[in-house]
Amino acid sequence: MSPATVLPGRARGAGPSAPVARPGRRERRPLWLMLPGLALLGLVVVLPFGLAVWMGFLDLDQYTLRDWLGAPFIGLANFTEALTTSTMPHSLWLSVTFALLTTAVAAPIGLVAALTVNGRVPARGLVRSLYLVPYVIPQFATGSLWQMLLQPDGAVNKVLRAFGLEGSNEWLIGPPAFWALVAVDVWASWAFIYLMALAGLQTISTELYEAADLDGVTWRQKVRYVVLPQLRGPLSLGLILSTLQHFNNFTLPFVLFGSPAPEAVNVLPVNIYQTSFQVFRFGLGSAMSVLALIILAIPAWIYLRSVRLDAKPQEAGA
Amino acid sequence: MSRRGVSGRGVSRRGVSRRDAQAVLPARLNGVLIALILAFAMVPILFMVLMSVTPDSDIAGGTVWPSHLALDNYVRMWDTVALGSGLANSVLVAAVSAVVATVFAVGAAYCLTRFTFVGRRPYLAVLVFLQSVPQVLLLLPLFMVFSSAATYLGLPLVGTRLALIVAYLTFALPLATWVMVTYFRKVPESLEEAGLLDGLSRFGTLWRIVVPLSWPGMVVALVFSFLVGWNDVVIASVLSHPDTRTAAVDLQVFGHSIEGGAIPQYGQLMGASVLCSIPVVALYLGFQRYLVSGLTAGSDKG
Amino acid sequence: MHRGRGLFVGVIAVLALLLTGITACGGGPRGGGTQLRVLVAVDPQYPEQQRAWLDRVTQRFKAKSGADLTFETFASAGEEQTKIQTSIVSGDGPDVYHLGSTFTPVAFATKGFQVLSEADWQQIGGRDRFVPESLGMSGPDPAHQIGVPVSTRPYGMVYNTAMFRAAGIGAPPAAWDEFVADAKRLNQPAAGVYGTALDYADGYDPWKFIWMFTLQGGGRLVSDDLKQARLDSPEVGASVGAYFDLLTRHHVADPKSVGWRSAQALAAFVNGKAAMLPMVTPNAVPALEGSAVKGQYAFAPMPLVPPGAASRPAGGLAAGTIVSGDNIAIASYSRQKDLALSYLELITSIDEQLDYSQTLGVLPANAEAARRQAEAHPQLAPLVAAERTAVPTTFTGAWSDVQLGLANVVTQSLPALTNGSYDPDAVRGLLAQANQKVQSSLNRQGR
Repeated sequence: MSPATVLPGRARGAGPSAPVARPGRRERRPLWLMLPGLALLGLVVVLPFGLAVWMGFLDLDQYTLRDWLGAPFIGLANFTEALTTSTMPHSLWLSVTFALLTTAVAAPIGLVAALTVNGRVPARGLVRSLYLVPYVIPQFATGSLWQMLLQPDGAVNKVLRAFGLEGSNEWLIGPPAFWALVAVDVWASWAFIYLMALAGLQTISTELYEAADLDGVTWRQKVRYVVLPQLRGPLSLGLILSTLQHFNNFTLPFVLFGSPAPEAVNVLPVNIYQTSFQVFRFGLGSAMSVLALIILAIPAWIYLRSVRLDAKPQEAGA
Repeated sequence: MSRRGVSGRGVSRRGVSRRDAQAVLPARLNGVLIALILAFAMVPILFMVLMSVTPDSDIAGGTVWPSHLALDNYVRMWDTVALGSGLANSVLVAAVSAVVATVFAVGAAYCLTRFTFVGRRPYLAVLVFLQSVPQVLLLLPLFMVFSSAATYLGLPLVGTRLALIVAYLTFALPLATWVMVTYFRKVPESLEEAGLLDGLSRFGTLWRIVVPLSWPGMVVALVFSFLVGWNDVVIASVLSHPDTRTAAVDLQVFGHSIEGGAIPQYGQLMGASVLCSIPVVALYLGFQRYLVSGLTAGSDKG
Repeated sequence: MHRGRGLFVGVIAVLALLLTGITACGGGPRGGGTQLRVLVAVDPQYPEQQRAWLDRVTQRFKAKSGADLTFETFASAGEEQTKIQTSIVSGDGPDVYHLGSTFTPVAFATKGFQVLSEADWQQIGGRDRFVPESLGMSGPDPAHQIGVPVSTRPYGMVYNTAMFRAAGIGAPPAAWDEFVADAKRLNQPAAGVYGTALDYADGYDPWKFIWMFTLQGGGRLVSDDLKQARLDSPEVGASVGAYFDLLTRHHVADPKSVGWRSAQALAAFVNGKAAMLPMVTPNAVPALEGSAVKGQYAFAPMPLVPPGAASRPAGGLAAGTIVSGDNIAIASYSRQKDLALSYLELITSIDEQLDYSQTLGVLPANAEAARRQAEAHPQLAPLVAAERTAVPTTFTGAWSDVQLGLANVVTQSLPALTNGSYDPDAVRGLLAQANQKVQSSLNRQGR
């Protein structure tokens, strides 16, 4: 019997470290494999992060930057200011809706794109790689390109008007700017989901498909009952990572709209950049970031629950 | 009962003898979708290429068709910034950090998916959490950490490629680890148990069984990690010196507006961006042939 | 088998060796011999010329002082600020910085730069060798100066001489009302040609207009004692209104200019779609020279009489331009102060200044060099004259808040401007918000 016959529903519930029945052999767990990553993460991410959080409790601005260790400790004053008088709540709301909306629109595109190049298609390698191009163009250039295309007499308006639709002269300066940002980010980033989905599709064994074919299912049923369940892991990871990445996307809105940004697109990363690096209020900027992280912890926590970390790895690949 | 034809592949109802099981969507729909998605993706790129040969004053003036072709953009851009060395630095830094990040991620993900130990769930949770940390927040403290390595340890890090590699590989690590965790979970344990019965160590099963079966995931992890280093501007602008500058930072020179009246060099920016995309696309083109269904290729016959 | 771990460690060790080998060489300041690290802006308009100039300066400095020069570059104002912040916070970075002059007050407030003593000034060659106005942004007062001017980029306007002749206008306007009148005569909306091109969506130009109108009208953005923010004063509100009125009331600019950045406005001028373009510096010359209006343009100082007045009111300043250009400052943590002063002396000498300004298209800060430059290039003479009307922007550490606050007022008013009007109450509200931020920053300075 081929071990590769993987049929759904046949979970082998054995624990992840089930001892092998080999006499005299102690189970060796190469946990040291994790050490290099841990060390690097500690030094390069956790330590600066701790410093950054600490800065949130200090009154750190252009006047106190030089001797930052001696900057006055002001407790939660930055945090209260961020929550009450600054523009952070508005920016946070914008960023959350932007991230969710962009992911919701980009994910189906990515998934469909992966489905289209999963099988044997002429010039498959080329098509697969061309799909990537918008994603790998440097974001700075993407922003500059669309900044040109979205001008009042730029290509976007010209095309819209050619189709009889009313363009907008405010793609970059007023309320429509939010939708412009969503559209541009969807265009630039759907390939993220596409990559994860395609790799996931390729790990589905052909025999699963063939079994479905034998049962005579339509392609819609195949997608729903064979593909999507198998893709649950990569897709849900892709969705959460995509949301987080869009939330933290600084370059695209900054290049498209500049600083100060119109109120409709004053997303949180641009706001924090402006607060920290343009007006030098590093303490307040740090406080805003930390508060944003606390909010972001919610979808992250939901994802972790949904992935059922404590469940044993199953044969069918959850 | 069995519809298997001589070729070993199923015969579909329509009587096509070699049906491609991997093709989920019907052929015509597939073709239409490919055309639509390609159009969606590539039309703005075509604009980009068009802009790269348009004079800057035309671009700023909003005309779509160039008044004359400015092919010299492609020549001038190598001079305006040190684009050659920038690209070389970018490729080197991004590639090394991607490979090392993936290697570390593979090891970590293997431990996380195959064993239980104290701190396993918190570690996974922290990895997700770290993905949500914005880079701008870490910029100053990161610089502080790196420059104090010079003062206290005597290791001049700021301005070296090593600093960039270390920074990028660490930022890529949570992402790569999670990707590998997701794909490792789809590899059935029975295969490893077969390997262990044959006398392989745990590390051996990782190396010989799990890794080959999760090549698709590794390609994804490699691509994502590569892009972390390839796209980054903020960290590179503070941690690099002119000769270790990456292409992403070089691009800023073209695009940033100068106060007091100057037209940014949009044409060169677009040309350089097209150029910057080619290495990644070429790498993926080369690697994507490894995106094969590993569970049928090379599985053990029990 | 235990080879697994050994193999892994071996691979990592080889990788590490390779890494250190490939990457550690290259990058980072070179030791060996004294050297001076200088931070300059990249000039994308003259890249080869700039590189050649950097080489020349390096050679001459070596000949003069025996030390090496290492140049580090930044591409944008944002990158410059980040470099300064990271260097100040870590005490590690270039010795000498080329700072934008409007940014010098904030740099001063960080106390990250050395105040120059009288002896230092003597070593550089004395304050007399500089264009007097360019010293305006060196420090809050002559006793506390950190910046040495190295170039000036005065703002003026450029106008299309052919269009002026065709409309029968003899000379560029000297008052803003005259500017509006001339622009109306030059307006041909049917042909897509307007009297002037404006850039309301630019991040840097609008606040300069507001500043100029306010100072000419006798108002202030910050009180002279640097303790009170005045962004909510009636004069500032009137200036913002006058700036918006150019479009909404007088219709002398293209309605699309609501969404234009400075590049689009400049493009409109060089493509013959606008007769005048205010708020330009010598940086515009390459675009002008390489375009259809070559030979048909001339510079002029901007008008000195505020909008809505026949002459400058009492207390109004003849502010034709901000003090714009580059200052050089020496970092506090630098241990090469003597070398830095030697570099300063070299780079502000007449010959170096002429070389620098001719290569990079800016105007010299050295007074004698500026005079010679105006003689040799008569086209730039009006800008040299404009420099004489330069008034410093407020020298306070809160300046970033002022600049950003004013820019924000304009940005948030853009949607209204697109519809052809603006709400004075909304503008007042935005100014009040900006004022609050500036005031709190001023209060923090007093700590």
